[in-house]
Amino acid sequence: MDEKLLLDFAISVGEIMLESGAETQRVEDTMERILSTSTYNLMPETFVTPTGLFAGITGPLSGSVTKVKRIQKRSINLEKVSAANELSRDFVSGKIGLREAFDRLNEISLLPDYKLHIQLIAYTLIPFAFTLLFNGTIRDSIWAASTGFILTFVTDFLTRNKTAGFLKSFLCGLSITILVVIYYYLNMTDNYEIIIKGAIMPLVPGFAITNAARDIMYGDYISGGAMIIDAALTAVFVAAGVATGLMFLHDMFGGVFV
Amino acid sequence: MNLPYFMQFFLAWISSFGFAILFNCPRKELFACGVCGGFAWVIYTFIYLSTINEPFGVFVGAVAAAALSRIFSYRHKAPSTVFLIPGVIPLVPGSQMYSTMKAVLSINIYDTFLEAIKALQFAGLIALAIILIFSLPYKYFEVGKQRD
Repeated sequence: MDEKLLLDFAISVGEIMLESGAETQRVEDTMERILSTSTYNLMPETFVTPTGLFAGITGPLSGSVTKVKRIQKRSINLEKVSAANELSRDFVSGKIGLREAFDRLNEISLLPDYKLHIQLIAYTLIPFAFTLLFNGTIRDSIWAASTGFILTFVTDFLTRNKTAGFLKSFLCGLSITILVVIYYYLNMTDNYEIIIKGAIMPLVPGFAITNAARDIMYGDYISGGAMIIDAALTAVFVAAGVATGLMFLHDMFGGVFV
Repeated sequence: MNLPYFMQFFLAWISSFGFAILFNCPRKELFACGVCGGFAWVIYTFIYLSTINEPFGVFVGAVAAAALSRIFSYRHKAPSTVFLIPGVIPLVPGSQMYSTMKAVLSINIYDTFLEAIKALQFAGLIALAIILIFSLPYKYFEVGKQRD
């Protein structure tokens, strides 16, 4: 088997997994397993950071080869992680050959995200459920659901216009707060704090906290530290958006809020 | 939190199900993702209400979510991340985040630090619970039949 082709395959699998939000340990482990399937001992070494991955082999035919891949964008798609994981398992167990594996990898890279109308349902259900869980009334949670409905289009618009991550968090927090306070001012809801708490739940950095914990646990301090910074900054920017909304409306409507 | 437990389970299930969609989890795993979140929240509420110790509730809830995600990972032959991330989401300190900002705005120094420390504490406890469960050997979580 061609060692360089194997290295290309390992790097491509690692790239898809890292882009889709797999944890560092899983990506390194998967690449190393793929490289170990060669008939020679290639002495594979892999090194993965949040923004790029490296893999190196030393083979009798190819000599020392190292390949670097820079990751430009990350978007969470756990279906791709799951599918790439299964592919690597099938490949390592010898169920499929390299050619077929490349074909399947191509299919995996084209897996779509959920459609907008399904995301709309998710964005609407999350604030609805959380407002009730935080002791809101039914009236509150229905209006919270409407903020989630609008948040879908705000997020979609900002994503399509390639807004930088933290500005997106800020603007989403801001738009939610303005909506909620307007509802409260028009006497449509019973509380406004509970609704804001429920409505910002789709924006909290749960993904970053979880992956930071797992990265640090496996000793990948670079990714773990980066994830912690990401989580903290996202939280700060969402909160800053909420604060800006509250202050703005405080000036508009008088001292009810803040 | 004043709702009956089955209702809370259902609502937390809905929220985790929604997050699973936002994170593009595979369609056949969405139900299990919701179950992780539902148990995490119900256990958190139960411990919080019975011991009046909120951090402990968060910790045990996160332990439950992590353990369930490893069991599902074994049974469904999928990476545990798929279940873990939507599962711990109900426990992420979003409401403390808001309370901190509110206290900052009203220049209430005491509340600012109290809520900020609470938020950090909860995030840290979730991380600790995940680290604890994922350090255990794989064989403890081989519960039930594997899907083929």
